[in-house]
Amino acid sequence: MTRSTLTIAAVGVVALAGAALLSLVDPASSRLFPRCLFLQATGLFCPGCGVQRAMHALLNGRVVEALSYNSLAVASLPVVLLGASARLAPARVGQAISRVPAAAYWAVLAAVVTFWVLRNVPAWPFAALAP
Amino acid sequence: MQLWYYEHDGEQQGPVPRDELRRLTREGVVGPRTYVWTEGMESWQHAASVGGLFEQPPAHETPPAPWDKPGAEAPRAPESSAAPRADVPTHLVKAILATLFCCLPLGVVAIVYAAQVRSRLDVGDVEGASRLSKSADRWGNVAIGVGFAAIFLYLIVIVGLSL
Repeated sequence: MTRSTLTIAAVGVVALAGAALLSLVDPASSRLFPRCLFLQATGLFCPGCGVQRAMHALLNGRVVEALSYNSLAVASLPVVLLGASARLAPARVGQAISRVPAAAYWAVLAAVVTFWVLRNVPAWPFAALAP
Repeated sequence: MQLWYYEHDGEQQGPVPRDELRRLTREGVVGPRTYVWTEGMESWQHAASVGGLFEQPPAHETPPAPWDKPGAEAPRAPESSAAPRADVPTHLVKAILATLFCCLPLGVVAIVYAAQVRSRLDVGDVEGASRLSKSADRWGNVAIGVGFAAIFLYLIVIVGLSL
């Protein structure tokens, strides 16, 4: 077993355990899940705020509710899953990913920063982006 | 005739025929650690690892004939999208995971680095891309590490308070 295989295995186990826990326990009402440190420190939502509730809702089949907690994280799931599978099947998926143009990378950055700013605007319609 | 691309001053150069590439190695423009690529290679490699470029001492060769110069070659536009990029990971997925699925927005820094890696690769700056790739990786790890440490501390405090 190489080091990277071990890393993949460890990440897989942690991800599965986290998903199992998140599907069973509602982070909104359980003290088991911490609140966002950035939110507690600054009073502002970070781009990841609401992701625990969103994943809990998603794992229980409530897609619309999941989107209301953190639409960007839900929308980015396909990218993340594809990227994760690139590690498992480097030859095919990895090649496809290497063809993603630079503009797409900058678009990701723009999306995250825009999302971060807008979800802190306490007015319609941006309030929909807040967790 | 097989055409070669090489990296010089952080820019992708070429295509040039093999003779021209050998001439460039003698002139020192292409060193043993310069990245080169030609059709059929999976990724950019150090010129030293390409057979025939550095193994023999420079023989007395006739200088390239005028029709052998790159300009005279049937000019194939070196579209950066057509030339392959070195296998430099951008660590974008890790950056997204750190930013959206972890606990601190430090991952944004990793996203910035990831995008820079990709842009550097587009202009053929493999060494710059590798450097930025390490930064992207490091910032992703820092964001995830700090996040997990915070969760761990939080859980310890929660357990401690409930005892």
